[in-house]
Amino acid sequence: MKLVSNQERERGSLSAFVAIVAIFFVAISVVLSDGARRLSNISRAEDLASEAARAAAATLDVGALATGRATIDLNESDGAMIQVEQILAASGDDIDFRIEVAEDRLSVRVDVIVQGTAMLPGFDIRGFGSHTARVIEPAALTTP
Amino acid sequence: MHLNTRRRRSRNGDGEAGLLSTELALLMPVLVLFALIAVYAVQVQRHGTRARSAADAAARTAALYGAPDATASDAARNAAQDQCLGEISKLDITWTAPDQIGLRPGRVAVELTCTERYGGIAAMVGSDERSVASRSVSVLEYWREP
Repeated sequence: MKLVSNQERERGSLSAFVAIVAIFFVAISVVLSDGARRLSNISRAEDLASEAARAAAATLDVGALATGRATIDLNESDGAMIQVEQILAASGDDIDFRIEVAEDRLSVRVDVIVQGTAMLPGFDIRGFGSHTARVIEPAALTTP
Repeated sequence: MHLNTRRRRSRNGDGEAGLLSTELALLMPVLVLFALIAVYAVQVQRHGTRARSAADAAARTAALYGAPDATASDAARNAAQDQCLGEISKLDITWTAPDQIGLRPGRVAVELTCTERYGGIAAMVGSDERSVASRSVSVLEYWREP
């Protein structure tokens, strides 16, 4: 049986330590970078959801307004969905969104997901934001 | 601790004397480089955030003015300049007017470039000036008076 001294057993252990420290630093850097990008995407998604919801809530049905009730227009050609699409397209970001109009068409909720590709495999840096806006009747703003 | 290790290993004569010092000496520049990269990455990230804030501020300010004229453009530029620590080297504002009859909102889209100087990192990046482009959009409600 061969006796192995302490020094022989520890040979190369310092190199392993250096390698582990280097990998640790790289991993920390990547995680921090992806985390920062995720926070940025969340903030962006919230801002865009807010603007999109305001645009949708400002898209009123003229016919319904003539009867004295201000409601969101769901017209497929230039209704709330189209307005939201146009606002989000103008932002220039890679976005998925969902729009949900209340049954009484007095409020709208817009969910926005800002897409992103993480450096770390399996890490999700997409940002989610949601905002609900309520219809404001134009006449109410001009009436003293 | 360092001296003790060295003395012990020298006495043992195992041929690894000074290995710790050598590896640390090799590692230190790498660690310093990592630190510099981390500082640079933070500056890049914050610069991007400022550029985005500048675009948001410009779009919101232009939307508050409500009409595409020189006053609105100047106000938007000033709002953006307040967020960017350097110069707003480019500012494009695209107006889509609201439809007052059809009750459809308009929008203001802003595209700008914020150019800033990074202190102390010039040797690493070749140039101490860096530009970040950003875009933002704001709603123009039809009931808002210009």
